Amino acid sequence: MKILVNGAWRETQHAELARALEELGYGGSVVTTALNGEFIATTQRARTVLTEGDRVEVLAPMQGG
Amino acid sequence: MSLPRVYPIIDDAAWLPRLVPQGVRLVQLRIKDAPEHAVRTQIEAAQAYCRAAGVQLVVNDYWRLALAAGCDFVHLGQGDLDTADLPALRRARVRLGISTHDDGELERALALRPYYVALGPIYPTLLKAMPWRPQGLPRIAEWKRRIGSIPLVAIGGITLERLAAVFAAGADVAAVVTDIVRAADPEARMRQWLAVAGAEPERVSA
Amino acid sequence: MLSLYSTTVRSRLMLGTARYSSPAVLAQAVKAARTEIVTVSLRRESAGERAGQAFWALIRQLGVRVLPNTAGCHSVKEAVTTAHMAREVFGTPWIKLEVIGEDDTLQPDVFGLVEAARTLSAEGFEVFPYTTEDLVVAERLLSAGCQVLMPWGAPIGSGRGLNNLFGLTALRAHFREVPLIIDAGLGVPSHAARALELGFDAVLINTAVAQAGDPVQMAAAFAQAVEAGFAARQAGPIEPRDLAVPSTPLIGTAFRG
Repeated sequence: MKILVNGAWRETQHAELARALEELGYGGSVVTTALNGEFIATTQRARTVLTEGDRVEVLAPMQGG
Repeated sequence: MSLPRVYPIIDDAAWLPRLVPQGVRLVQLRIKDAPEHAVRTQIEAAQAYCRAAGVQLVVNDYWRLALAAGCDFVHLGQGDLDTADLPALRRARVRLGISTHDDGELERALALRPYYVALGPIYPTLLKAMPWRPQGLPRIAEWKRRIGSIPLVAIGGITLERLAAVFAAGADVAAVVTDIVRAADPEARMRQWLAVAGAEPERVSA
Repeated sequence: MLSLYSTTVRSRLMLGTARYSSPAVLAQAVKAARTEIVTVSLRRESAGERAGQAFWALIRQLGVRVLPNTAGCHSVKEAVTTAHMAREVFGTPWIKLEVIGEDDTLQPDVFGLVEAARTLSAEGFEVFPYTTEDLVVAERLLSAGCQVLMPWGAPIGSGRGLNNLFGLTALRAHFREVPLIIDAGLGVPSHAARALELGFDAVLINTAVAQAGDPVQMAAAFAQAVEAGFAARQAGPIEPRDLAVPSTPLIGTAFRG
């Protein structure tokens, strides 16, 4: 299915957010996620199911003022 | 100064990113039977994480490594007291938490003006092969009467179900190992602990 | 010593971590500033990149406390979600709450700010709201659960210093017991010294250090300025007067009547 990841359309074979993140290459990274504007805790990712057109944000620590 | 009510004890710094974001503000790193270089790495990682997140880290036993890593709080058992360089720790302004099981140990601990006194095991525990019989709730009340405003940390076999009773008996802080780390969902269990503890009224210190 | 929520720090200079030419310069500036608190943020991470992890490792090595921000958030929802994400990654309940209302001045949307502050405080966050010098907004933020306020000096990155002196001094006078940290728009160390002389509790500096010709030297200069300003405040400065008062006594002066 097609989902929007950090603003770009990506294709994923997996319905669960945790597996989709691994498929997209985020395995092992320290990241935090939101789905359609809602925070999804790391422990929730395996249970979170994606649907076509979902917006996923994958964020990591960065410099900030 | 008061301590947070909930005090998880972990054996690996990898637990920190899982438990701390649930609301933990005080944590003990207790590592047993590991080579010194591994312990050093663990302490340094824990110290770095806790410093950044503003969490109070307490290092069990390895006081030399803790000092070297810049830690400011160490937990010592009675055996550790025999060999620790207490004047060095004082000079470095390292705070001490001391374990006690009986009157003699309590007197020895109080003479060192610790930041907290720990009493255990409150209940039979799965982890340590304890030479001590369970202390039980009335012992908590007795200890609190004797140590007054020094925080009393209860440890050993405390579960979510027993937590309210432990506080009611007079403990200021409840330490926990198994009930969190062996839970099916440790993060959720941690949150539940914090929720129960959060409902406790503020203790007014003497 | 400055108390912020249940933490005490010695340094009254906080640094932002953005806009440095390199991580090495950032690290050196942080050390030169002797700061104990730095702000950090969250950004989209590309798959396979480890930039976020590298940055986070660097910050942990510096031994400073982090204050994550909700930079770039324009709505309550965005700010609240970002705060949750920050807490998960950084492990701290501290959050520098920014809800931006207008993109030219980057000024706060004070209505959204108060609402987000209320939501987050109720969820256990320790909120540091980036606000204006508006007294009513300040009152609402405190009622919403904030125990610290971060009023702007001037628009973010503008380097203008303390733009609205009257408003800022009124804020300080009105909320005597609340830690007030001037955040945004300071350009040179004298601005920071002035802020501390006026009784503000600390300053947060980013662009003025990061974009200086020599950020490390500028960081050290800001540290000195903050100490000087604080010491001056403690030392009880003289009051300004309209008319002259001679400093040399007139008694016994030659050539007088």
